[in-house]
Amino acid sequence: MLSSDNNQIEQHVSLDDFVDKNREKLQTDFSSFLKPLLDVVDSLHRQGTLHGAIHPEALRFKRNGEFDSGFFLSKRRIPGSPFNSLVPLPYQAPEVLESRGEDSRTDCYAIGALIHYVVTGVAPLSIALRGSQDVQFPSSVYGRWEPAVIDAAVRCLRISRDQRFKEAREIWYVITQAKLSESSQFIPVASNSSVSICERSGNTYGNFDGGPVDNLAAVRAQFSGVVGVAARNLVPQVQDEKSAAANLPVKLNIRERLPNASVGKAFRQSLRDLFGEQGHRVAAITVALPENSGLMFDEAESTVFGTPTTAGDVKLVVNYRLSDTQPGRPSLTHIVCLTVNPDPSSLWKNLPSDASEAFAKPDWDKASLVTPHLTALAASLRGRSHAHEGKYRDDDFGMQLVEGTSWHIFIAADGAGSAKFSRRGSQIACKTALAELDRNLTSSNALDAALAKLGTDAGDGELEKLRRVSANLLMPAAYKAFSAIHQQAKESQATLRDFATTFIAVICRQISGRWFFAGFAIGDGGAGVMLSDGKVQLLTQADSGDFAGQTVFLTMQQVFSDSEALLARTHALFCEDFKFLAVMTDGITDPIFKSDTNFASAAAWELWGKELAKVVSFDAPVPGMEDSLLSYLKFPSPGNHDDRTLVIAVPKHTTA
Amino acid sequence: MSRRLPVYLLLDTSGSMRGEPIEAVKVGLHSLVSGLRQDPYALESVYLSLITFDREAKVLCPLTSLEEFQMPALECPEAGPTHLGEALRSLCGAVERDLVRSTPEQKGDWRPLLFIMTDGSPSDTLIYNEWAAKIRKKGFATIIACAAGAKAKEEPLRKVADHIVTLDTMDSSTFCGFFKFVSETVTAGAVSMGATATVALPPPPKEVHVVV
Repeated sequence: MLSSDNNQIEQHVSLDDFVDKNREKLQTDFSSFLKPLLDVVDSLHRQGTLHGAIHPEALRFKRNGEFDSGFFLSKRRIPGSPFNSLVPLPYQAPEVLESRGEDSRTDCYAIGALIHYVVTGVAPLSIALRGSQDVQFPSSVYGRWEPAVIDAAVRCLRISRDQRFKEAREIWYVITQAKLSESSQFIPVASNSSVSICERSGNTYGNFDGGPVDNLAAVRAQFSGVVGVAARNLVPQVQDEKSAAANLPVKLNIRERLPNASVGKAFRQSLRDLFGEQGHRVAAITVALPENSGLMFDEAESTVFGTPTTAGDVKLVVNYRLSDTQPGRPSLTHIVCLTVNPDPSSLWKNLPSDASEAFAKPDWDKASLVTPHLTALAASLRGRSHAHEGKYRDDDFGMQLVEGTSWHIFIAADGAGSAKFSRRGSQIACKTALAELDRNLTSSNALDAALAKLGTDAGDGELEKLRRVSANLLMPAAYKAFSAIHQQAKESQATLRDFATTFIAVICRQISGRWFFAGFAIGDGGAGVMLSDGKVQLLTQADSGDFAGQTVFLTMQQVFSDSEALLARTHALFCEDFKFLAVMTDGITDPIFKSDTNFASAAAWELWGKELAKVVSFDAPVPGMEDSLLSYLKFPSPGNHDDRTLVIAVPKHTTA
Repeated sequence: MSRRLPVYLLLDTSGSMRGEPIEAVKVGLHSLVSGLRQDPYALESVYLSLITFDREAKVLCPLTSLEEFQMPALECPEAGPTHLGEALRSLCGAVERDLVRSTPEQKGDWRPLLFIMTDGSPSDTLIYNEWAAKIRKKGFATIIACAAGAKAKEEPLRKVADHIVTLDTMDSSTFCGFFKFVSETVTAGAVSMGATATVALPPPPKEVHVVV
């Protein structure tokens, strides 16, 4: 049927001639005229073939009245035809452009244009009016044409840019459906009352190319309630010239999308806003909302509201009237798209990391430490972003009491997310520094000697001296860690950068009833002491860049090249008593404190302390509470899904 | 507000993109946005901005959260030059207005990502060279340029991009491949920003060839 007889073009008639000669036949059986064209379009669509635009002006018919599909396919023009100056619209089969959001040139529109041309003798509205509600047929055509034909044309011409028919057979369905509803006076077709095309096979309108429509349910859902409405708008009106002028089509620029909604978030949107400045002219807005969508419609306020339950794009059919047109005028229809975002928390996956790979380590870790002077609890948890991809926990920690002394060591490290072996980098950093500090704090050491010399009233000068002595312990420990990572990188034939990690170390001991702390850090995260009087003393200074996530790593050579800067990384503190010490990676500081300034704020620590008190008993912490600490680390915080490591140490208060 | 990952897309809409190529780009963009919406991290962090360039550069969509983003209409003029330099100038202005940098009081944005797609070469060479150099200093985590189709020139793109990818053809499936690559780079970038100087590229789909 796709054959063409181009040699006989001269014998062909134009659409005009054809319509003139066959008007009566067309008026009673339009479908048999349209079917060959739809056959061609459908066949092209199924092949995914590009084809030229369907121009009513360019369509040709054989003398016997058959539509010449070959001519259409070859896009040839009749020499000397006045229509040759028409620029064909670029066109692609929808299948080629699957999921295209908008398309101003669908076949559906073209077929609407064709019907309009046949019925009225003039080309329809300009493409700019596409999707407009203003499509009108002169009252003179009513009664002469099948209402189904007019209905189909209106439907096709009103199709909005983002509402497309995927297949010509869907257009066919609209036409046959409209034909059916003729007998029921164009009452909107209820979804359960429409008859499927398959069931009606044998009927003149029942078959389209012999095959059933696969997605009939979808088609039906799309058009139920809409098909009839368009036709009802076409009630003929008796018009003299004056009233015709008063009834000129109204130009409305209606938005095609509502602002996006999100699952689980309250949504409220006035549909009047769709009409922009013309909103005041619109009345009686109604909309059909999908069942169980969580959305409802407040008719008095013309507002869609509720909390969406399902993500995805939905098309909503909005009916409305113009308040300044004659009463009794039927309502108009507009299709609007609403995007509902998923709830991010529902999308997180929790994939275990591969335990068989090099440097594999558990997705979480916890520990407790009880010494004569304090109780410490530690937990480390893989962040959601890593769990989502089955990646490793890059954080690590270590803590211990140096045997035979009062020294406590706490270390935390955060491997860089983008470095492939950073899980190992942080692990080496913790282990090596812990061992090094343990070794240097065991025997008689310079720090103990300096502390012993100290009077009961340590002034600023003495504290500075202690800071420098502490630095001489902490800096070499950090460097030892750096060297160990360097060694590992060599062995693994990888780069230092592959093992990038931050480093936070705190040492502390009780002496003469007071507490001494020294802290050292490279990178972000940090450590601080919440004092008994409600003040906060930080033991670290975070390294932050211009942008989030930019920081300095232990594995950067330049860190150790500037001895002054390195010395400045050490902080020392003397205090009578304290409430708790916290050592943490940026997985905690970012969501809890949000900024470096706030990390130094006593008020922020106070607030956080109250949260912590719910999981860790500050009065009587006991081993086992690290479990609650680990659970606490799961707290949700939008945008903050990094690994989280937290060490809390609480002093023992012996009743003296 | 949680920290944002700003993603800038510079798209060629010059005359040569008219027809199937621009339609294919629309399809690709659509799949990019819906794909990113399926990634929880992207959904919470990604902000998109769309800048098109033909005779003039237009900020078609200013930096908007993925949650609120709505696809603007893309249009191509009949014919005309490729003013990529103008686009970079617009981008510089946008970046200066948009980006939040870290201060002691607040954490800044993640380092932004930039994707440039063109099917030709910049017609405004002088302006292009000037602004390409400025863009290099704007702190982008990575700048990926895509030379689409046979007429696209890689050489000028080297002035601005960290990575260059090429597409042999400009049909729908090829552009979809490119935008899939964009999506994967964005999601990979979202979770691993900041650690290293460069962003590791995800393995490209078969339609996309990584040149640099």
